[in-house]
Amino acid sequence: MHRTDEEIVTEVLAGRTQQYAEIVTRYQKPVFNLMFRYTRHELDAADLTQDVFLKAFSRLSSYRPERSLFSWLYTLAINVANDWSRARTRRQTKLPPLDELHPPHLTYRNPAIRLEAHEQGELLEQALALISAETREILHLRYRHEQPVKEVATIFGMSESAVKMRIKRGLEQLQKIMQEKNDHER
Amino acid sequence: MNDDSIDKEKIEMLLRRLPEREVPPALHERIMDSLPTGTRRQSIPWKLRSCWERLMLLAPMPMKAGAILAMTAAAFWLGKEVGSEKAIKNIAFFHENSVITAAFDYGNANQMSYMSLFEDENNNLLRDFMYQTTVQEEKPTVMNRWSDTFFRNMENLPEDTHNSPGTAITGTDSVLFLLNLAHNLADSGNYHGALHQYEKVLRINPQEQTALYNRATSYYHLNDKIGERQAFISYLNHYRSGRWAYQAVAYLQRLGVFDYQVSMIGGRKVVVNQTVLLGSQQQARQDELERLTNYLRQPTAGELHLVVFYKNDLEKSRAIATQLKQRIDSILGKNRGLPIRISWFDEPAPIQTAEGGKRELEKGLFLFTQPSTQQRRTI
Repeated sequence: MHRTDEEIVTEVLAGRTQQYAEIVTRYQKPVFNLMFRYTRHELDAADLTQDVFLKAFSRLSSYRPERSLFSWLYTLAINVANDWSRARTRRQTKLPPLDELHPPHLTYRNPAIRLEAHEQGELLEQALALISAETREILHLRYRHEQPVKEVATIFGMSESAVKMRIKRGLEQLQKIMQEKNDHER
Repeated sequence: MNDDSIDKEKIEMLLRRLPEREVPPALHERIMDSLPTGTRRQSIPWKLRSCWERLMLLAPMPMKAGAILAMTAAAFWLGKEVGSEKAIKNIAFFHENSVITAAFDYGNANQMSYMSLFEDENNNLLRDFMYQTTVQEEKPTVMNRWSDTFFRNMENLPEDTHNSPGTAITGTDSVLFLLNLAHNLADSGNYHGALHQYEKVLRINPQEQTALYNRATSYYHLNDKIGERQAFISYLNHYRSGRWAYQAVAYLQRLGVFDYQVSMIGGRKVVVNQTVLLGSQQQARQDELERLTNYLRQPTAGELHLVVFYKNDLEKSRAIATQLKQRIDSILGKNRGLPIRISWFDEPAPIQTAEGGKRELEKGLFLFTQPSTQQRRTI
């Protein structure tokens, strides 16, 4: 039987802490991927994901069901990622370039689809790495995770019109970068 | 990348389909173990397991590979110790881990196991076993031939049934299984093997779209131009619209085959065989036109423009254009409501070959629909 996030949170707060495993199962992938986009390193991303879920667990009582758990958790994750970015800037560590990383596993089973999607997806990933982290994450939330503009605005503490503007500009930036790269390759 | 410009809709679509990384396998455990719940088990097996999970999470690839190799060796040793054929069979088939199968003495163990399963009519296990062995084998071998026999037997069965009650493999299952096998072989670069499996799928279902298309791309990877051309043409004989059809046209044009072109008809792109439409084979032309008229019947079709050209032969261009118009008219019937505008000229069309050279297409046809004058006025 499918239980809602609220039901699980209630059970965890009532002392059945092992139920928290279900929340981890549901949201570890988007959180891990968010962290990977910031760190570009699997182990760092895994460490930060662990931090997020640990913080979420200790602050679970502050969660209000008026908001979706995903949105609440993602806000926390964005804050953890930003903290990490600030600390990294202080340490002046260098991120590995994108082409040194192993590409993520594509879910398409069909070689034909995979070949085409791979080329275009690769170009998009390169372009995403060149725009600001905040705009990139706004686009991810809006399109990859299909979050409504209102929810994205809450997560980033912006007005809805500001989010819409960011999305518009972000798409334009991506279009420009991808077009340039595409023309260059041809 | 293809030649299409990158518009915002395409970027939005790509963003929606961005692939995601898989979470490291032990991360969930690690998170749960780090929670301040006070319920952690501290027994020795738990500590060992925790240690292993941390190793698998943190270890770099060579260490992981070493650990897996050690486990494989242990499984192999265990298999030897137990010794009997029955034990081999049980270990190989009831544990899904393929490394165990790979560890056995290949030829003998596989053959014995195959025969044993075949005698038992245990087809589900047999299918899994065939999958493991054919994926692992680069060249056609005894096992590959047996796998062929097995699937040939399955093809002869009545649709979606099987002669072994309780272990039924449906026709759909077989196709899906073979497709997966073929995809995996293609993934590993074994395009000969992949082709073999796609052919098997097509023997079961000659219109299987994925197999038709990937058979062609396998030929492409094998640099077998004749096979590639035939396979793409075969794809287009069955499918005339959709992304793969347009790709097939592009591949064929790269091979110097300009028989097909993509036309915009009734608001969607459709592949048209212009050689057949301009040719003298009446039946083939009729079939091609009937195929086209399905799209022309769409209410969004507007008006059809038909342009024919023959190098230095204006009269022939005009005659063919008129003839085609009449045929389309007769197929669509009186109540078609689709104006057809024809034009003709006697100039060849310049084309570019895959090598970047210039060529002339001496005869050809352009076909497209656009909103009618009345529709344009309303817009």
